[in-house]
Amino acid sequence: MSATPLEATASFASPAGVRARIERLRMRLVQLRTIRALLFSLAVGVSILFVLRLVGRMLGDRLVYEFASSATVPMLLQGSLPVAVAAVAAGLVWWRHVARWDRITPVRAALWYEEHHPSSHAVVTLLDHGREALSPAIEAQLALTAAVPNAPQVPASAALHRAMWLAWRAPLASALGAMLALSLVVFVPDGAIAHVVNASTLTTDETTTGTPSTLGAWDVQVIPPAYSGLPTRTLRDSGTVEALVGSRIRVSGVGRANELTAALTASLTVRSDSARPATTLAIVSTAQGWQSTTMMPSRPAVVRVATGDNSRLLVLIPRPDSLPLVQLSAPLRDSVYRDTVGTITLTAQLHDDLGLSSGVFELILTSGSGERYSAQTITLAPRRFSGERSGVLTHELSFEQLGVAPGDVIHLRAVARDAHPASAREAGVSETRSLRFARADEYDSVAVEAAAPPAVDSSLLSQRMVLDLTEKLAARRSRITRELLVAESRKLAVEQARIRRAVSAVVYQRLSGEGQSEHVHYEGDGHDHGVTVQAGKLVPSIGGSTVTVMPGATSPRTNENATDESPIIAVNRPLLEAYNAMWDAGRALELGDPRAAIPPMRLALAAIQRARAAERVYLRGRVRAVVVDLERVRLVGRDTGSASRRTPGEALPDSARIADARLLRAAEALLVDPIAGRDSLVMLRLDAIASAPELSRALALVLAALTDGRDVSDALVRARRTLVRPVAVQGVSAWSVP
Amino acid sequence: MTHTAPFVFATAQYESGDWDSAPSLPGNLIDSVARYTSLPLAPQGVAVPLASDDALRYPLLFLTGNLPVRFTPQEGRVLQRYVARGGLLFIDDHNHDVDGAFHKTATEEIRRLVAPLLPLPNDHPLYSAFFTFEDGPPTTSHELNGWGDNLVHDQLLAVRTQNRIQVLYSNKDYSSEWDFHPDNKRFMGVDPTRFGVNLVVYALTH
Repeated sequence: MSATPLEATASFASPAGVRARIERLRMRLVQLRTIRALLFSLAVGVSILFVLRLVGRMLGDRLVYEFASSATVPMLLQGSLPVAVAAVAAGLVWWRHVARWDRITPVRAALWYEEHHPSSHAVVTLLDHGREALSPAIEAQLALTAAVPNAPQVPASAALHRAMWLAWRAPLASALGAMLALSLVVFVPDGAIAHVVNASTLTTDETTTGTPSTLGAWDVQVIPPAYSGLPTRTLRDSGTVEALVGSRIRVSGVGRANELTAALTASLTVRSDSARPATTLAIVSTAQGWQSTTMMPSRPAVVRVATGDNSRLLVLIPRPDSLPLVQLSAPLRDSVYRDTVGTITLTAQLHDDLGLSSGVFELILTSGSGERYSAQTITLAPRRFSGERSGVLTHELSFEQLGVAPGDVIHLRAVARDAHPASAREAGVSETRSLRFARADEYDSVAVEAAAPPAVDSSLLSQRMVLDLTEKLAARRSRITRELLVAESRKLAVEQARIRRAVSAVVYQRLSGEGQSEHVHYEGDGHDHGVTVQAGKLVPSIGGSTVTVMPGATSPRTNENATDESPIIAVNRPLLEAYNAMWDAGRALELGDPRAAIPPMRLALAAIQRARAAERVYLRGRVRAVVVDLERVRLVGRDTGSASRRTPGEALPDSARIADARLLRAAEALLVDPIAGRDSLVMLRLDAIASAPELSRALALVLAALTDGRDVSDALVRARRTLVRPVAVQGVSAWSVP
Repeated sequence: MTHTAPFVFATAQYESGDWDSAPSLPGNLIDSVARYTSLPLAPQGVAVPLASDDALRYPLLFLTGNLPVRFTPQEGRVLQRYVARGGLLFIDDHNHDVDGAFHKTATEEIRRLVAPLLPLPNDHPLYSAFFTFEDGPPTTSHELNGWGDNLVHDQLLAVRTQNRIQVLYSNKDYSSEWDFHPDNKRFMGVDPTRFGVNLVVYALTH
């Protein structure tokens, strides 16, 4: 700051001189504020970059993390993404500073000057008026007052320097600190951070769990199968590795190979605590020490590397390559077509966790009837993919080109394959749609016209939607006023009543052919529809008596003995249940109690589902009922056979109890032989990965606490509680004060 | 004295295909079980949706059809639970084509949902659970007539655990062989439904 803007000079005494000096001061203040904002932005940006780089290095070095993130997170955190994130954050900070700025006007600069030079009190007055507003004499007088000839020299320069220091020191220190930390992360070699971070861990391991120094730290290199396209990654001194099935797992360390042995042991179940088969792994010498390679198995396993009495375990957690997910979005439902001409659009969405390889529509065209059927499999619209995770299959299916005839049935599905090279690899398939072509003799059947959704289906959708809205209203019940709750609940009651009327219309139409709904009929009114109204609900009437419809009653299709009612009543029974449940739900909604409305709404939804299923079955025809006269035919057969009596099998041992015993033994072993105890916990966790995931997660925390040298009592108690739940008892406990 | 619930013959009802292609078979098998055993029985069979948990109430589920079989996700889940919890699913190819639509799709679905079907040895306890069938599964007239795939199948297919059958699969078209009114048995020299008794007894004792 060589040029000080406010040094008292002769020219300062003139009004023009005062204005010029204040303008220079204003420029200085703008610079000061701009540089302060820049330093803040720099500090924030560099800090974020440092944190992201550090996390990326730590993930890449040692952390046990989920597979889904294993391949992507370290890559993302070590690529250009962190720079972009840091730049955006810095930009936001800069924008936030700039957005909050008030413009520094000459008057504000003058105020700043007067604040630091109270004796120069006329500067603001001089600048706050235009040149025309004051007479020259007054201006001159003000300029003299502002100049204060007797004031100390260079006070403004010192004040400005002090202001700069105060404004810049905090962001400058932050920025320098962040840059220093970032340079450590960027320039320190791979692995060093892990060793720094894990310094206490390693020490703890050696002291508390006795990790043999002859084995030392190891590197685990994970080489995924080539078809997956995933990158190779290296984990530093990791005890667990989660990777795609078929990945090559290469463990390497420092030391003599001929002193080590390695074996791969597969997981069993938590019931098993006995000796388990192990496969010996070869250990080869390398320039750096030793190396052993195995493949990631399809079941959890553990690699045990041992020298003498010391050993280390590496848990292998396989991640299967999922089959592609396929969703057939068109046609959306099964259909019956009147004609064998026309074109329909087929559309399917394909997804895969690693990448798609191919997709195709597959259909089976079945012709014939009775004992004579012929079927041909046809594939349509094959499409190759080059590793995309999502794709779409579309095709225009022409019935004429397919050569379908009346009575034919097309079973259609979409099939997708991923890049997995195994010959026995299955494909991902969609649900199958059935497209049937009506015969000429069934044109009078209701089954022919199936293109438009029936009324029951639209009732189903609406009921589900109202149920959703009611659940949401019930969830925010405590956050809204009673008046608002009642108002919204009544709106839902109106919707519920609309659906109820739609259902009743379906019921009445089926029973009597009338389209009107909810026109009241009572018992004995001489106009029997098969149902009567009692207390607002519909009750089937059978031969002049009524039968109560209980929500949740067994469907007539599964209760063949309940045949005292007409088939038409039997088929409509679920709809009657739905109607009555909707009545209950509507009443609760009218009272402003959405929570009470939810159970009957769910019953209604389930009943509609049953009605839908019953209708589909009904249209296909009922099985002819053959009732066997058991008394007449009992033991009249001419042949005789012999059957041994059933011997009851022994109950399987309680897996939780066995796992609990293993956990207790491992916990006790920790006290006398930490390595054995830890290995037992590792093996128990390995066995629990598939069969008891909650226990597995709790044991991972125990092992982490062991590795960090922390007290594991609490973690062990939590792990045990996943197996043996505490029993709540009523009353005052024995040691409580009564 | 303990009360024993009567055995109920259940036919699996699935969304795709024609699950009800052998409507007289349940009554015929019930009749046979009553003729030869003293097992408590329900006089009438039931059709139970495979998508319903009701299916889990029956120790033996009979599934047949002519058309391609594609189980819905819910049917698949119930089927997996059914066989895991001790049920025996007996599938018969009513179309009896060795590579026909039913055979191809049904075996594919069982492989997808349970496990691959493998040949069942002809000395398996199933063949001596009540009547003894020295040569394994009895041949059907439909096989001998040369209908369908024109083959006489020597073995049934099955998915097995160590001590029981989870899924039994037949290409022999018992659905046609047994699909007649039980009163017609009086005209027959040998009752063809005797193997059905073995099925029921095996399902109830394993």
